[in-house]
Amino acid sequence: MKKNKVVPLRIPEHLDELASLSAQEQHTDKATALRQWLHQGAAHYAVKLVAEGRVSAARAAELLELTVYDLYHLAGAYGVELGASDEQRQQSRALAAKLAQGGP
Amino acid sequence: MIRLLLDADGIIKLYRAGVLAQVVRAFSCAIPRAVYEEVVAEGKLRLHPDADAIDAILLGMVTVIPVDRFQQPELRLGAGELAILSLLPQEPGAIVVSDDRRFLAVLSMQGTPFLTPADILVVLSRRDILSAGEAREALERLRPAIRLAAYWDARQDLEAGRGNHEEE
Repeated sequence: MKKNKVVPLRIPEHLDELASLSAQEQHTDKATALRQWLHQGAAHYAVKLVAEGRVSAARAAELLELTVYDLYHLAGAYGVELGASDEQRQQSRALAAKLAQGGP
Repeated sequence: MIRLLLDADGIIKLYRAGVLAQVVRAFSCAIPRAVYEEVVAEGKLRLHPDADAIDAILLGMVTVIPVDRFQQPELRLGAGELAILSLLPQEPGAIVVSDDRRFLAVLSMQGTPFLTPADILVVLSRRDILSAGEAREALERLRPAIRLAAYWDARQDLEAGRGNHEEE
């Protein structure tokens, strides 16, 4: 079961109005509209952290309660490239070159 | 024989490249139970189409090792990656397959050898497990899932190995 936490939040009036509009259009309530925005923002932020190597994709997926597949899908949707850094790639290439020659 | 430990990222990308079956046949491969859960169990639960096919490839070919979950939240890794870290002392000489920047940073700090899925294609090609053409096709399938720079590096490395190997 998901654990929820109540967080008192002060938001600007114009966003409150926008949330009301979103709720109306989505046939939901304002709190749900705000939670959806929060999830979307959190997902975008998590993908950015993964791309920067500050958190792994698997950990980000855990925090968002998604699968790793979903995380890659999100990264694609946001147009964010995920993968090894240049330095890590060079380390991997060096090992691949060694293994290609029959080592270790 | 080369021993590979694969994380969720490594498994999914090798599958998308279409070479997971060749990798598990050519090398001795192992995954911790937590990685299996991330890729197969969770994937099936959420109806991801790749999960069933990956399960069929792993079945009987990859050793799934139960590992006591250890907590190191400061590493900011998932359960599967943490389980791989705890397996490493029992697996001297093993190479980790992943393209996850955070995980590779931790492995690099520890001095653990690793290969990205793109470089696995290079190894498969140079060892004649894949023909040059097959490796190139696999790289094209992998392309959307990796950084563009990684694609060009691997393409260059595959081209460099073509002189001594069979052609498309």
